[in-house]
Amino acid sequence: MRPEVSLVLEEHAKRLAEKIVPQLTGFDANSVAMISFMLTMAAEEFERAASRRVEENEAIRVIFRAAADTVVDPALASRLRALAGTADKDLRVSRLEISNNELRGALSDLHAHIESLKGEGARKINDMIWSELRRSVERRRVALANF
Amino acid sequence: MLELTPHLIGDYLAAEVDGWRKVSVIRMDRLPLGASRETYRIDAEVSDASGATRNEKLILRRDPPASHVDSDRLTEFESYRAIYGRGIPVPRMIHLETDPERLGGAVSIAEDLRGFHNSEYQLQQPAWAKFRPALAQQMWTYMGKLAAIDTAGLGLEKFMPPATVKNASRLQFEQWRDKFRRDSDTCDPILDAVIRELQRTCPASAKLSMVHGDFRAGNFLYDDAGVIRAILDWEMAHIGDPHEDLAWSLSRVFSFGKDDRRSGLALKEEAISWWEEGAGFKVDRATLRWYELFTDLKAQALWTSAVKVWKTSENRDVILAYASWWLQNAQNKAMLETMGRL
Repeated sequence: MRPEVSLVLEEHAKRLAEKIVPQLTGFDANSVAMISFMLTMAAEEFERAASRRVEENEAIRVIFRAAADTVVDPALASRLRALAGTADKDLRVSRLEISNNELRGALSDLHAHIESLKGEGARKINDMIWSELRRSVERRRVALANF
Repeated sequence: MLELTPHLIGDYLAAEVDGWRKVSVIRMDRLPLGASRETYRIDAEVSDASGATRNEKLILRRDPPASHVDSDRLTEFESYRAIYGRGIPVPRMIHLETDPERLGGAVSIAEDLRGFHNSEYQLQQPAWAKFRPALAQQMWTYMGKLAAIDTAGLGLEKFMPPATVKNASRLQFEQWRDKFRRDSDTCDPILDAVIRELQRTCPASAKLSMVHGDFRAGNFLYDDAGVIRAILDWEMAHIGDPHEDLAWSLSRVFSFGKDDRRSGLALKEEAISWWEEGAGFKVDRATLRWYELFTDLKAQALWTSAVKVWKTSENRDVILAYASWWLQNAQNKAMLETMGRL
C-alpha cells in the first residue's frame, strides 16, 4: 500500500488549514491558507492532468478533420491536416501540454478564419468550436473557484 | 530586496516628511492586502519642530521589484489626492517616495483608517448578511458618483495618459491586449475570440470620467454597522469611460458568494440601478456589454501576468500563483457567458 499523491496533497492541505493557520496571524496566516488551497487544487489537477489533455487534444483533431473541406486558406488547411494526423504517444503532462498548446493555437486560427466565412459549413464548424470551448472550460474547472 | 525595518522607516520618515523631526516606529506589520503591492501597517511616535509628540497610524505601500500591475506609486498617490474631498471617501495621503533606491522600491505613506474591515469573503458569512444590501447600495452609488465627477477640475492629465471620448475604449483595449500577448506563454482560443469582437466593436464614449480600475468588494473599508469608510486601491486609476468600473464590478469572478450576486453583494440589475442613481444618468447597455467583455480581457491579462511574475521574478508571493491558478479558467467561463456561449 502506498500514499496516493492526491490523498497526500489533500491531507497536507487539511493539516495546514486546520492546525497551522490558526496559530498564525496577518500576512503569514493568509499565505499559508492560500498554500493549503493550492494543495487542494493540485490534488484535483493531479488526478485529471493527463486525461483532460488527451481528451481535449483528440476533440480538437476531430474538429480539424471536420473543417478540412470548409477552410479556404491553403496554408491553414495544410497545417490543420498535419495536426489532425498527430497522436499523443508520450503521456507525460509536460509533453501533452506542448501538443495541447499547439492544437489550441491552431484552433484559434481556425476560429478566426471560420468567422470570416459564410455558409452552412462554416456555421457548423463555428458551432463545433464553441461547443469544444465550453467543454474545455469544464475540463479545467476548479472546484474552489467563484465561478 | 531591501528589508523594511522599523528603524529604517523611522529614520526615513524623520528625514523626508515635512514637519516630522523624530520618528519612532513602535510597531510594523505586513498586511495580507492585494497581490500587486506590499502593504505595511505602522504605529509611529512623531515629534515635530516644537518638540511636541503625537502618535501616527500609517499605511506604507511599496512597489515590489516585479508586479502584474503596470502602475507606479505616483499614479495611485496622485489619484487618491485628486479624489480626496470630492464625495468619495478615501484616506489622506502623507508622503510619496518615487526613488526605488531609498526603500527598495517606490513607497507611498498614507493615514491608516483603523478598526474597519476590508474582507470580501467575510461579507458572505451569515452574521454579515443583514449589512449586504446597504453595503451594495453604497458601493455602487459611490461608483456612480465617481462617474459623475467632472474630470476637468481634477488635474488628472498631469499624471495620467490622456484619453478622448473617441479613443478611450480603444486605448484601454490595446493596452490590455498587448499586455496579455506580452505575458502569456499559452494559447487561449476563448480570449482570442473576445479580442476579435472587442476590436470590431470599440465604442465611442458619451463622456469621460476618472475610472478607479479595480472597484469591487475587497477594495473598500467598511465598519461594524455596514458603512463604507474608504475606497482603496487606486493603482489602476485612469481617465476612461464610466461604464468601465461598473462592468468590472459586475464580473462573475468577483461573485464571492458563488452565486448570482455580483461582488458577492447584489444582483446585476440592482447594482446598475444604484450606479445610475449615483451617476445621475442611465447606463448605455451596448457600451456596458462592451466593457463587460473588456473586463474579461483586462482580468485575464492580470491573472496571466501574475503567474508570469511568480514564475520569472524574485516576487514569489503566494497570492500571485494562487489567484492566477483558479481565476484563469473562471475568467474563460465568464467570457463564454458574456458572449452568450455558455
